[in-house]
Amino acid sequence: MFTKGFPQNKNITHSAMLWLIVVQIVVTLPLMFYLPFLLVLVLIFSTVWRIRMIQGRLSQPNNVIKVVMAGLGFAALASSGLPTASLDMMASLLLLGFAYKALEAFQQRDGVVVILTGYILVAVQFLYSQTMLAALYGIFSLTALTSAMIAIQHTKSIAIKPNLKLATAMLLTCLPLMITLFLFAPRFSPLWSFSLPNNHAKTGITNRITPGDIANLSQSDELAFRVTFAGEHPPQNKLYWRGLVLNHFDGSTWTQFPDELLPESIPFRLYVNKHDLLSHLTRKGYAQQYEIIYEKSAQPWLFALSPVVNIEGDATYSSDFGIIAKQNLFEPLLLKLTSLPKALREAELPHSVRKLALQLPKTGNKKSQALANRLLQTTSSQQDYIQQVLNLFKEEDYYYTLHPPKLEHENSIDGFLIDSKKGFCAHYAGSFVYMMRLAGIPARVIAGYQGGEWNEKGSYLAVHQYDAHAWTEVWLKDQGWVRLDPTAMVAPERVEKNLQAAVKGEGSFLEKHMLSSAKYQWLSGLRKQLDASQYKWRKLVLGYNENTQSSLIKQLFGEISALKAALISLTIFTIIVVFWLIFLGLTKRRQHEAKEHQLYRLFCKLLEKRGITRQPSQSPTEFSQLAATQLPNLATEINRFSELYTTLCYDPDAKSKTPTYIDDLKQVIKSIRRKK
Amino acid sequence: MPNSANSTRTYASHKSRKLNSWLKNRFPDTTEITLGLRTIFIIPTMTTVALSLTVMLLFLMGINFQNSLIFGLSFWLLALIVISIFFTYRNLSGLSVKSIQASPCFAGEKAVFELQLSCPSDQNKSSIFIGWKDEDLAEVNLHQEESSQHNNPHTQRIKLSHSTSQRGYFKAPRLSIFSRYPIGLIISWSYAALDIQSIVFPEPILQKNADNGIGKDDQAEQGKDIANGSTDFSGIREYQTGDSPKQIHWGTYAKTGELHTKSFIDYASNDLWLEWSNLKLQGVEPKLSHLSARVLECHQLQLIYGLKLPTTTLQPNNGEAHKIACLTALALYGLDSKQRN
Amino acid sequence: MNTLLQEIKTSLNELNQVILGKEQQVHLALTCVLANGHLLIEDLPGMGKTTLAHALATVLGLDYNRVQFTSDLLPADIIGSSVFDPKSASFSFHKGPIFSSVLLADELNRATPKAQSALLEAMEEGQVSVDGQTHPLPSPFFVIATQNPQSQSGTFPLPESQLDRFMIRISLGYPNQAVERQILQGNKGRAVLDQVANILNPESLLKIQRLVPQVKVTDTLLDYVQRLIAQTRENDLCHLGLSPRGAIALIQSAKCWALLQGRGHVLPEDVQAVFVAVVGHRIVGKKETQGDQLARHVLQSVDTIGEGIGGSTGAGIRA
Repeated sequence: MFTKGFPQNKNITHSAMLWLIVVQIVVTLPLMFYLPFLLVLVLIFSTVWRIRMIQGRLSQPNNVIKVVMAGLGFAALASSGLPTASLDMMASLLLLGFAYKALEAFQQRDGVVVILTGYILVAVQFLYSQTMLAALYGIFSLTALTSAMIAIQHTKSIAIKPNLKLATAMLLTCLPLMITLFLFAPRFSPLWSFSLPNNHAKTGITNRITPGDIANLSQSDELAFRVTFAGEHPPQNKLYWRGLVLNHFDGSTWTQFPDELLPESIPFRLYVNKHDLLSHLTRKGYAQQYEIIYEKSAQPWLFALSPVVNIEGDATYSSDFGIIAKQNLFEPLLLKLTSLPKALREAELPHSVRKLALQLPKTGNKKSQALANRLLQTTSSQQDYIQQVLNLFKEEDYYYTLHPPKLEHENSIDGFLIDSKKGFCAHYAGSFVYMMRLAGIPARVIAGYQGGEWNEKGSYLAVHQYDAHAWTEVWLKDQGWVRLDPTAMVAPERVEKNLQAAVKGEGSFLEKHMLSSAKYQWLSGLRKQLDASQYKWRKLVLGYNENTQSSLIKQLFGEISALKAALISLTIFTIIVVFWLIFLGLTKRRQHEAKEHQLYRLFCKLLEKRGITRQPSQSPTEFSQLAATQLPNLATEINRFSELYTTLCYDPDAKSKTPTYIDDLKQVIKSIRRKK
Repeated sequence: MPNSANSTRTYASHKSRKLNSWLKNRFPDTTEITLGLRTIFIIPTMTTVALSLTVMLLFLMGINFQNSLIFGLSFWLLALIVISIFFTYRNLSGLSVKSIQASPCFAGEKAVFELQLSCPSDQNKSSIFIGWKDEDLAEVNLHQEESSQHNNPHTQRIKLSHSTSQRGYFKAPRLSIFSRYPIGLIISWSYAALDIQSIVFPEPILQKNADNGIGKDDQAEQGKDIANGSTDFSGIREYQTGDSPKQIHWGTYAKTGELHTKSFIDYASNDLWLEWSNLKLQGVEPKLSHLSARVLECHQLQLIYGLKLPTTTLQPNNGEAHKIACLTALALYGLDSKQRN
Repeated sequence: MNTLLQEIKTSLNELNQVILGKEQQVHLALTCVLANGHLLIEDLPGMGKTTLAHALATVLGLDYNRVQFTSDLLPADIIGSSVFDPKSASFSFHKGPIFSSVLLADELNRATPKAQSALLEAMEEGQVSVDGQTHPLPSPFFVIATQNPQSQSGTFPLPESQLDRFMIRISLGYPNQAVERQILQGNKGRAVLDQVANILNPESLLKIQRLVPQVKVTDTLLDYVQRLIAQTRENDLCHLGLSPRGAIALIQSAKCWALLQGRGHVLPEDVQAVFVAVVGHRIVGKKETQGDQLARHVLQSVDTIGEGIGGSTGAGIRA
């Protein structure tokens, strides 16, 4: 607006157009993985057209082509079947707009629009992925976008390298302020709650378990969550990461509740306030404090050492002594938890819970029922019965395998327990609970993870999908819910060490991953290193939120008042600005003249105030003679100053005594000042 | 209605006058100005507004998705806006603008001013625009890549032209200097009031029948030869001692053995007087315009002419320098030497 | 050393007795001698060029020859030639007028370029070669050349490259009225040329010349000199700037000037004093600007004090 009337070339240069193309490709590339394939074709079409246009082989697309392209884009979106109000849809629309704008960017203004949209698309990319790699790519995109922004400002094509260098320099110089803002700028809770549906695949343990599911899960070496313990970490065989309580059995599949309940309502059903939870708990034993970062799973289930008595973070207590996220995990989540592993859970068993814990399918599994009856007759007490069933697993010919035979739907328990005797943790847990319930002992299957891999480099425990496990809980009078793991009877290595050890003979651990690092010793060091840095990234960067911010501020500055906050921010910003001024060389005044010359200029200024101006060509002696005659009352000072200055500057013998001379010069200046 | 429009106009003009006097105070006339903290204004552009909106949008996204990386991105862009203030300021500060010379022109044509832009050799300046609104604008780059081998890359001469309307002195108006470098988010803006003026000659307008007879000298009526000239060959005469050997006619010497000298003459015919008092025109400016046209005409015909104005007289002569002298006399006629346009 | 300086002072006084009212020029001429350079005097006839040269030679105790340059002057007329000696039946070298400590080359621009260059070559080399034999010139060897600045037909002005061989160019100019009266009264000036005392001898002159390198120059002063040089190269009016040879001559003559003042170090005043004389004939201005005029302009526009070695952006230069 200020430059109106100044004839300037607002068209962007050839090299800036190339920059815009680079930016277009760089920004859209990562989004290709998440957005409908047909959209990719439209984008490629737009890019190719643009390149041909810059080469001068194609003209600017006319309106018909533009409409056709827009139509194609919308058709691609419509055919992709994305929900209308989803993140994917919005990202796709933004991307389409970006592609069209880039196609017709010939003026600076269009270029700016393209680049600003590019910045937003970088943010959209972060919505899909927040890994370190994504962040690095984001920085790369940011640099490219900023370079393009510089390029469109020029009226002449400029080389790539200095442009990139300038952009990098600018972004790096930004860092102090950016980091300060990142750390200390106020963070808010979401202003309005909207969660855009997102087509992420669910990963990890789900709330429906058919024996065999977990075996499949064991083939994945993806990370489930990471844990750091305050103080010593518990032994491997105590690490039962309890997630879902599966009460209902329909003959083949275990679920949390009977199928009549809508699956969406289940999480809400589980919410319970802390007070109610603690009322069902008898505190006992030590408290275990730890911090968990859950990877995104697109599900609300969280895994912890039961029972959890305190949560810091975005999660709530569930009625079965576990925890549950307030929404599906589309982003990694960090929680600080306190558990009482030895506490007594539900000394009094509520009726509804008892009913759930004794539910049995109406039909099937006759052989198992017969076995239960037989055992019941030979045992006197519940403990005895339980022991008998566990002994059964231990003593009879049961195998722990990742390749159990297929089971008949109706009699799945019989198929494993009586016939094949080959199964995975879910088989053992399921049939054990079935046997308990036949004997009238409240029991339930627990799904979660067991163990984990200790990472010394990051001093945390990494729990992977292949650590998925199923075990049981049995309710006993005076003891409440007691954890029992029938798998430990068959394959104690699974609990003492890990799955790899348990299925060593079979060689089936991660067999589908030809090159999985978990299988190879030499890779595992590298993997752990990488994992450790990922963990730090998760914890320090992604996990940085309102809570961590306030604790950091408290740690750094103590209690904060408004005045103190203002003072601190003022100080920090001053430091940053000073740093910038020095870094950018803006503090340099004259070309660092020596002190004597500065004093001489000061001397000239003082005399100028008294009406005597030195011509540049006048030598000091000449000037002093002139000045002394015109200012007789200052003559001695003027002559003295001039003499000192001349000697210092032009007599090489005076060089060694510079400081004394400088002091003398200052003295003379002072006395000139005094004589008003 | 007209009243209110009038009052807003006067208010606006009052405001601009106030601004003008403030600027005059801040940018006094000098032959050289070095831009610094006191003289550079920092103004955000529309791009900054757009980028700020983007940053706000990103910040909201960060809040709603609780996404640390988006927060980071938004803060980074915010810092980019702030840092570009420093970069843009740095690009302009330290730039020196110095007036070199102004070429004269005729009223209605463009006066050309030559300026020198320079910066300390440890700095680089890019994409600096300097010029007058609605007149002329030049882009200046002072860095290593721009330089040819022998030139100092940190000094550059530019020529700017400004249209003129009136004869006399034309002082270069206040120059605007601005730069959006590097990223277009911020404009750093400054002015340079250079103490440099061009002489604007009266616009040459030839009027028919404006001359009261031709002011030729009586002698010149017949034309007068200037002997011993150098222009035209007039004949061969006998050699006299002292004649330049260059003018000896060697041809006759070879034939006759006697030295002869070639003689040349110059013509001083048509000695013209362009006289103010001889004009049948009314008004000062038409007279000056007419004389200006006559000067050009005479110069074109390579005549020897003189100029008589009520205040000054220029003796007959010819050549470029004489033309300029005559035109300058016409341009400054009736003007105090200090008076400026 | 003190006695030497005293001798110089006396010789200066002596010279000023002969060349009246031209202290600056006499000073510069002596400076030129001390700096072991050659002097070019550009002036109209009758201004005292010859007198100055003669007096200088006498005061310094040097032998003196004068050659009037004319258009038919041959190199051999200056250098000398081999002459057949019938007695010994061999050629012997007959030394020309150049074999003297002070040579006054009057109206140098009247001679043909061939003759001019013979002299200039001898000046540069300090020796002459005739018939394959090299004859060293006496030491000290000092040429005072005069040029008539008025453009006259039949002259061959020295090209710029040759002018560079002369360390200092001065012009004496008309004397002022008081001095002129003294001259007319006839008891000063040329009339007293015979009475000029022989104060120095060649040995002491060489000794004094050896003192010149001991005159000290500080960095601050070199900064100033470099600013001046840069300005001659970058000034808008300059077509050809000062050559490095010219720069060396500038410092050298500034040192000698300082020595003449009895100082052991150089001040800006010394540089300013010799600047026009040393630089004026070495730089070429645009648009018919005279070198002297230009040199004066450069001197005016460069800041004496401060640091920075100039260039158009140097801190020290302000218009």
